[in-house]
Amino acid sequence: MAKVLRFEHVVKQFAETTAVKDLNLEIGEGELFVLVGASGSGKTTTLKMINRLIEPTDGNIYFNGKRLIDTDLRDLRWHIGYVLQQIALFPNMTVAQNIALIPQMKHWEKGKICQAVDEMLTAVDLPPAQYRDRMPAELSGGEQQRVGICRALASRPPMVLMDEPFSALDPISRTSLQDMVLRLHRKMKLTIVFVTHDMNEAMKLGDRIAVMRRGELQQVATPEEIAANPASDFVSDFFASAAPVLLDTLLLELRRFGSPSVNEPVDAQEEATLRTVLRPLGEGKSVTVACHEGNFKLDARQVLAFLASAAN
Amino acid sequence: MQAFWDTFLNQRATLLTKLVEHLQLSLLALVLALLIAVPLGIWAQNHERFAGVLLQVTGIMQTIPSLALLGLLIPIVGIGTAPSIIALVVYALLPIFQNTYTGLHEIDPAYKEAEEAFGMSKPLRLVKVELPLAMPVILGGVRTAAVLIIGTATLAALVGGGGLGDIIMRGINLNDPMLTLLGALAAALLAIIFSWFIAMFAKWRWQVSVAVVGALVIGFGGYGAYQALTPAKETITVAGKLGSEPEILINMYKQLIEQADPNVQVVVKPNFGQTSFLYSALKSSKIDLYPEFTGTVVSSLLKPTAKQQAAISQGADPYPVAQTLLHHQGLTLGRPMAYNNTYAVVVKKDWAEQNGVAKISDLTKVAPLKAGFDVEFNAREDGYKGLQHKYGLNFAVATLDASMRYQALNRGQVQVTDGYATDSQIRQYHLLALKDDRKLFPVYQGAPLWRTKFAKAHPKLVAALNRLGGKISAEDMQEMNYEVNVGGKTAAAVAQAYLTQHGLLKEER
Repeated sequence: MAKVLRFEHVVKQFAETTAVKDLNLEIGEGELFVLVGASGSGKTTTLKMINRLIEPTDGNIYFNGKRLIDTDLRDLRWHIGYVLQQIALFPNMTVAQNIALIPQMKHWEKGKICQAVDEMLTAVDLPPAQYRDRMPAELSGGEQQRVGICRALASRPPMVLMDEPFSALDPISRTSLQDMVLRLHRKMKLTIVFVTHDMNEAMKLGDRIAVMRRGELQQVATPEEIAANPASDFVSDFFASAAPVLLDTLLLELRRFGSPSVNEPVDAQEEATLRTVLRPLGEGKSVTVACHEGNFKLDARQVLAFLASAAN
Repeated sequence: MQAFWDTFLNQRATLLTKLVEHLQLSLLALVLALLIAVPLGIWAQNHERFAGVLLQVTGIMQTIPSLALLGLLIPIVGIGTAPSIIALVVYALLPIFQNTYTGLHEIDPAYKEAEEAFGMSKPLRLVKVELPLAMPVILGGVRTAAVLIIGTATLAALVGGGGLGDIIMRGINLNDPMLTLLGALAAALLAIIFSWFIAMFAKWRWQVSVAVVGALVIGFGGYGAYQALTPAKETITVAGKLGSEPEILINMYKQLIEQADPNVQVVVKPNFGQTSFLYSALKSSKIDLYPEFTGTVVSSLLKPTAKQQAAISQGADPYPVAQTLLHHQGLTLGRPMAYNNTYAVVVKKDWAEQNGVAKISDLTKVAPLKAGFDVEFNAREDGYKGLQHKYGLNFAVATLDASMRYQALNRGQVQVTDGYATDSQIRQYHLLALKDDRKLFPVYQGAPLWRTKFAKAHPKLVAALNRLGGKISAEDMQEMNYEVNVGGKTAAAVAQAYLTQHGLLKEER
């Protein structure tokens, strides 16, 4: 996979604190990369250094092999979409005007802009005829963030940054927007860098996850690897704290996610907790569970599917 | 209520012109203040330290009393519209600047982050997002400024700036509370309408707002430009003090001058201001002439020698003294008119006939009497004190406000009061100004005052105005004042009628 983004010894020092310490990281093209961590971990600072809302104190960031400080700022930002936690749709503009903002600055012709607006609205399940001319204040939080995503994607940037985009939404909107992001990611072949403090969200969305703590990377890995082999106590704690109840779920309850198993050696009993089988799952093995309703088999993907459905 | 309605009907033509003047003045000041304060408020966004300083400075400017500010501006920019506009702009700066600055400053930083992340240019951010978001706050400031301007603009009348203040000042000078009320109400109403209008701006689409402002600016601007560009002829500016009498006189001047020289156009500026404003305006060539009184020249404008003063106190005509003193200032008085607009002792006409009173000295025969005097007259040496010394008169005196005197006399609450010889109330209430047979009151004769240089350059005009010399008796003037103040005629019509009737103006005009 080609690398679109590379951090080399990046440091960000604010007046009193070091927000990011010697960060080295590569993000591949078309990847949905999640930065996860508690507040103050440096994840948002890292994100904002990508579109130069924050400039690093030291080190270099390369975008498509070119140093960020050598790129034209405006051009860079037109190539990187941005979705904010506060949504921040401009309240004096209609939905369509908000979405058309960047295409207009790029001097697209009118017909093309209208088409892009309608396509984007359709892609986020908001019927254009109904939503085009509404004002942001007339929309629910979930609808607003859908428009926020349209605005970021309308001019078809190859990369999008999302800064805790769903943290202010209710659980139901959050789940459907997460599904929508996964869908858009696949459909538009986007590179997405996604910041969240919610480990469950990270596990659900991320192709790869970077766990950050106090400005340092703790682990960069796929969700499966993190679940199986937390690189440090912190990661395992963070992972555990993110879903303490879920890991104590009885295996019985995962039956509907598993596949039926007949005549295979049993690895665990139905009354055991999920926590007890994480290690073999992490090693890529499947686990056969003895169950009074019929034995079943679980692999890592199936467990993740459970976690995703249960997290919300 | 009826009195107010009558005043309104009589003055509606004047009211309209003054209203337009007032609106022009206010609108111009508001536009200028916007042009200064809004860019300043935008600029201050990125210069926080300056923003603090600017807030302080504009705040301090607003604490300067408006009258003092006008006074301070006169030596710098002269009189008329300029100092009024400057003063109004100064007052309007604070609310507009403050609200522009705060309005922009308090925009949610998330919007600013979004603008930046979308690669919006600075001007685009302002136009598309920040100004529209701050607009309600900015318009709030503009509303405050507009109300402030419209109220303060009434003071423009003091420095010849015109506007509704002229009506208010005239009301005060004529002791006509209805006139003052009319001016004040009109100003208040204008402020309310203006404020409503600006509030509507927030609701209208910006295209409508721009169209409305554009129409107003083009309308008033065009009118102003038209006024500025039309006079191809020589223009002579004749101004007058506050009140109907100077207004009638300057209209006579205008008609006589334009008859004598058809290539001259006369601009009349009635109710231009108090004596000292007119005097300095004349000296600095802002105006070309105005009617002045001989008595005023020697008593308040210039200082006669002790010897001259003594002669005047003995009852000598102040005209030659005034002429000598003015000569040193490069000024000249024309020939004075007949009437003497001095203090007068006034009684009811029927009462005078019953008691055989025609002269002030006759009053000694009918004492004891009750008198209602204005506070100033009561204390002046050439007032009640003089009546006591020179005539040996002693009244039971009640000091009354100037506006109350004639009513008290009319109702028989007092038998004697003070007044001015040409007051229209003398005619209105059938009163009599008693003859000052011992020459207590100094002579106040009216005559055109101009710069000597101007008079030498325009001998034809001087001759034309000198034809008024010795004309117009006190009774004539009372009658004319009455026709304007009570009869509701325009000063120009009254002036024309008099001139025509006395053969000074050819009929065909």
